[in-house]
Amino acid sequence: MNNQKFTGSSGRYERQISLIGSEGQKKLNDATILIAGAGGLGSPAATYLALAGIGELVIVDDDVIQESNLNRQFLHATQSIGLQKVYSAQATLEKMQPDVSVVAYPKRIDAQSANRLIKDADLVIDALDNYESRFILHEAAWKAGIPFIHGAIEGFSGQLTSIIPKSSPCLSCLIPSAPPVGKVSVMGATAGVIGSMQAMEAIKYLTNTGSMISGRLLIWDGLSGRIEFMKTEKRKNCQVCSE
Amino acid sequence: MKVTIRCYARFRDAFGEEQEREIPEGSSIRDAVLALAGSGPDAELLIDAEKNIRSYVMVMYRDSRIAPADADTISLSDNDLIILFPPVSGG
Ligand SMILES: [Zn+2]
Repeated sequence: MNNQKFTGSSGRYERQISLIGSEGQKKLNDATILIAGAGGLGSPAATYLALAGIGELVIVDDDVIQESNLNRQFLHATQSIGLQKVYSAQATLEKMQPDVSVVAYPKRIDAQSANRLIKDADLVIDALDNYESRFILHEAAWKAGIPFIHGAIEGFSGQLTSIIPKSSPCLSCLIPSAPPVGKVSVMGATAGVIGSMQAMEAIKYLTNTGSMISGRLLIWDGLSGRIEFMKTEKRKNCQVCSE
Repeated sequence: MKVTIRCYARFRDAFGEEQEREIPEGSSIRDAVLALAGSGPDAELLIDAEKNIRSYVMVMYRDSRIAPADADTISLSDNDLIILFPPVSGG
């Protein structure tokens, strides 16, 4: 939770302290964020959160790097193909930003690991690539009262919503059951847009700045440049969030 | 009357970005989606064998989500816009 390496007095954060204040910067430094997925969304989300001065990032992913990841997963270099993504992400981030502590967890998310990972986190970034893991991690986060910043992408499109326990509908209200798996095509910049927005949501939440994309789903279409907001509501008899 | 249906992601690939449909006065959201789906091979992306909107389809009307099961109960007006979005899953 605290990071001895933090150099808050350096000029590194000068251009953002003017936006969020020293207090806001301290809140970022004191925070631990769980990044679930070190792929397309995880790359921009983790990078911007590290650069913003988040004290600790815990990154979980059980995948190894494949060549087909490299059009978007910029935490990983060509020579890292075959390595575990979490270790490559850890090395890249720590080199880029000496203030951040990165904890790498090369495991698949199941009910047990989800609860353990959530325990120390102030916030979760959902950068996962499947709903099975999302539902497990989301339920653990909801029960622990931890915000869960959901993002997902396909092709030129993406979606995002911030799930804040007790104040917003939950992920299962929004998506009661896993949708059919779509095409695996994705343009790297699609991941860049949505992953960056996830980092922005986390920064807003931690520093109490602006208003969250919560209680509504952001739908982004890169082909037209359109953004839609769809109001979301609690679903009757939701298995996760109904009392 | 005329309604516009805007599609995103996979639905856009199948049905185009924006389509106008002429439908009878008093038609429901479900009627409009059926008119868009047509009878081609892509229809099953939106509707099931009983001609109901599939449960995963996100239907948005006047900024709000309409549950597929309720799509029958909402009557449209001339020049209304309906937005269809399939939840995406990649990361
Ligand atoms: Zn719920």
